[in-house]
Amino acid sequence: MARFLRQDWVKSNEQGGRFIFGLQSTFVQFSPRNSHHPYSNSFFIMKNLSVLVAVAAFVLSAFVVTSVVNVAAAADVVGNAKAADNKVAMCIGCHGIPGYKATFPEVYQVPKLGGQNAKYLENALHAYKKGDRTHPTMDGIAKSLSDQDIADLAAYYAQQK
Amino acid sequence: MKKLLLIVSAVISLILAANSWAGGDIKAGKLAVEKFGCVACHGADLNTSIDPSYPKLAGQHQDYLAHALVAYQRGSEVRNGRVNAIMNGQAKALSSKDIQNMAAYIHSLPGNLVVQK
Repeated sequence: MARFLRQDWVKSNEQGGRFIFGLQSTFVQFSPRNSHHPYSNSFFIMKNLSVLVAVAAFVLSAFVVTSVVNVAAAADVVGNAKAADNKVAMCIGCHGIPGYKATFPEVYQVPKLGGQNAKYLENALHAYKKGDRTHPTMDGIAKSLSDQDIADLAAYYAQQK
Repeated sequence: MKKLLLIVSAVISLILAANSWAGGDIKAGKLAVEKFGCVACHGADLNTSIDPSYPKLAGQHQDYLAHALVAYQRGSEVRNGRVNAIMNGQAKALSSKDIQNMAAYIHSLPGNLVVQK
């Protein structure tokens, strides 16, 4: 039995004189019992399916193009330790203090960053940005950094001895 | 007097035992590091990783190392987890005792990580 997701823009209850529009998703089940349903008209389905495929192809190609561009951009970013001089302010409050401990949600000393591999530091910040790593403080900080900021900060800490 | 001495020494040895448990066993940590093949990527001295995308570990804070391994165990399932194709698999195999011991051993190694402004 075929099932497909039907999405309609629906107008919900009036709130404060305004109509709220929202996308309502419903699963439509094809069975002889609901074959009278307008959406189960085979012409309608085929027409919509082709539109769907076209839209999906377009979105997919857009993704491919942007990811290629992103990779190219990432490859072009070269870290400059000097440029990080005025970007480390938000790092040193924790990572510049010997023995400083993160206190929420778990207590442990924040990692030593000086002398660490630059590429690893970059990956760690990107992971916080993306959500592959989570920490309340680092999530917020990483999200505020550009790719160039991240490369500069990584270079800055990597060259420390 | 003898009884008192016995009690005091028992208490002291208990405290020491508890401390060494919480602090991890360096020798057992060395064995675990060898067993789980950490050196294959992080280098024989755990300070010269085979690829710059892998971190230097030697001398890193003990509690941070333990925290990182626990975070890899959690993966993406809960908050404060970490996602990494290699480390998620590696960390899943570890007991909490392994983690404590390995963190103690790795922290004890000489490395060139520093804390500076």
